Amino acid sequence: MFVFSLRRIASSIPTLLLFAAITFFTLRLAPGGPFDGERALPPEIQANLDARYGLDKPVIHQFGKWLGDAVRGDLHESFQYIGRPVNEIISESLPTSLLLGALSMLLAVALGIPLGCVAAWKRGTWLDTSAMFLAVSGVSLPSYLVASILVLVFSIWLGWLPPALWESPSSMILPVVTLGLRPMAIIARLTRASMIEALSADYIRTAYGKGLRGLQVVFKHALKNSLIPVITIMGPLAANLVTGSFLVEVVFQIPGMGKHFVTAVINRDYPLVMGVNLVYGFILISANLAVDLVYAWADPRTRRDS
Amino acid sequence: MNPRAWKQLVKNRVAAVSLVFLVIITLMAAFAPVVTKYSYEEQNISEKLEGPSTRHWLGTDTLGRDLYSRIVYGARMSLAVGIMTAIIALFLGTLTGAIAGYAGGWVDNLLMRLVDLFYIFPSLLMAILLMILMGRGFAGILLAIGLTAWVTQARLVRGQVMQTKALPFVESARATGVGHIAIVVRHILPNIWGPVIVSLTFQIPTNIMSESFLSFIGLGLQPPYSSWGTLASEGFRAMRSYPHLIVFPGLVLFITMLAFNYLGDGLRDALDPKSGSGSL
Repeated sequence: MFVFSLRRIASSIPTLLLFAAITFFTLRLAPGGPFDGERALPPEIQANLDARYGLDKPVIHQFGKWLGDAVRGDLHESFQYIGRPVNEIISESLPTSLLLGALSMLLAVALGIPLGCVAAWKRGTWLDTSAMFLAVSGVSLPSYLVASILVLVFSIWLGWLPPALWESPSSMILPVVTLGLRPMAIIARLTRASMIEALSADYIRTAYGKGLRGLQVVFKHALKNSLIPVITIMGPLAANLVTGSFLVEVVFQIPGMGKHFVTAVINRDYPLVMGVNLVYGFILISANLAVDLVYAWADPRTRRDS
Repeated sequence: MNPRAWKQLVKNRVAAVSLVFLVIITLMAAFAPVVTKYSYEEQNISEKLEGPSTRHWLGTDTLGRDLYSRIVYGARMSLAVGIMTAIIALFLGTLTGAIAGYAGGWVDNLLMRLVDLFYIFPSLLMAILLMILMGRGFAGILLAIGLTAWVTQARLVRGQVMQTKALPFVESARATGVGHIAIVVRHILPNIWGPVIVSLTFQIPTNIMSESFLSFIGLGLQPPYSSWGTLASEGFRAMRSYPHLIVFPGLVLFITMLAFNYLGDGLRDALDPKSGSGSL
């Protein structure tokens, strides 16, 4: 198990490196530069700027320098926010995004698993049908529609919750629901499916035979065995939260890292793009790694080559 | 599809209704000029921002274009993107997943690292980079979505192949001297196509949604072309004063997504009764 973990961790380092390299070079292939404005800059000024930021050197050299500095924890200065280190921008905005993502995931798990269990337990009844309609709607609604409906109903018509910003706990409700709805729906469906399978197993019949009550069997015996597929899906869900947070942060004007994700590319703010994506890549790799490790722990057959 | 599975699918009323709805909307998209009175780009400023009426069933937009026509023509783009990207994903994913799952060892390791790479590559970043490189056209969108979607397929196929290749019938095939390629193509793939088809049914709506997401944030198709995403995006900006502009495209998109998802559920029950695998 220990060797397996080490091997998985080691093998994800080249992935992250390759990811950084591809992003770096594709960005340079793209037409346009960071200092393009309405009018072209005089050549001397352009040359000075390029020299100041090291853009006059060959791209491979630039990548080497960026990588060397990144390993030491220096992500350079942003082009767009002049004089501000990318480290500072990230450390200011990342906690907000992480909180948003974590709360959404928490909501998704806290509602999705019980919803799936109840649906499986009461299979075929109106409870099952309505729980699953809710879940299917959750996967069928694009987040921008969810956001617009929520804002229209709860902020504009009812006036209960603020339509934007990230200040009081009440302002967090709408963005978290918007972001958490889809993973909640996916978790609920998956839990139901694997729960139905678990409930038909022999050991469940045994549990009933021992005279245990329905709910106890569902939550104590069947749930434990049906959580593996749910755990596996957590990696992709974390990825969805990452891309989803961009839209939610823009729509609700939340000062998170998501907004840099797109604007930095459009502005050709190379250091910021690299910094932000390095952090995202790291989060995603860690999430996948965690999922693999939990999976290997739960199901020893998947520990191949060890 | 075998008759038993087909009968079971039709017996599932929600899935059957979904299938009929999807067939109708696909036919409407295919024969768009026949089922609409106006073209999708015909502007009429004197009739702009009207609500639903007998002349314009679903009203008109900010340039006086008929919203119903735009939704029908939008269906063409949305469905085309959804289906074509799913096919790209199916092809790339099955190829990679089957090789990785069957070969195992370093081949599996290498291919799965490649999958991991696409996996961690945020789809949004990939889309933006591709759009910048290739221009904001149909090809850019197809690539951007297809290159994100195949990874899910590859993981699914790999897992299924790994499970199936350990079964006794594969072992006996190998013992009787059947070659590797024949084992994969003739013995393993036919046994896993149920989950694959099911995941494909879920992939199409996911991809339609990705396209609508890209269009919504302004990275999708450019005017005058419309997809449901561009329509919703236009509607979103006028939401407070003219809710019909977001309600109708949003509703059509929502119902289509529901139909795909319910059809996928029905297919799963029909083709693959044992499967506990869920969908993304």
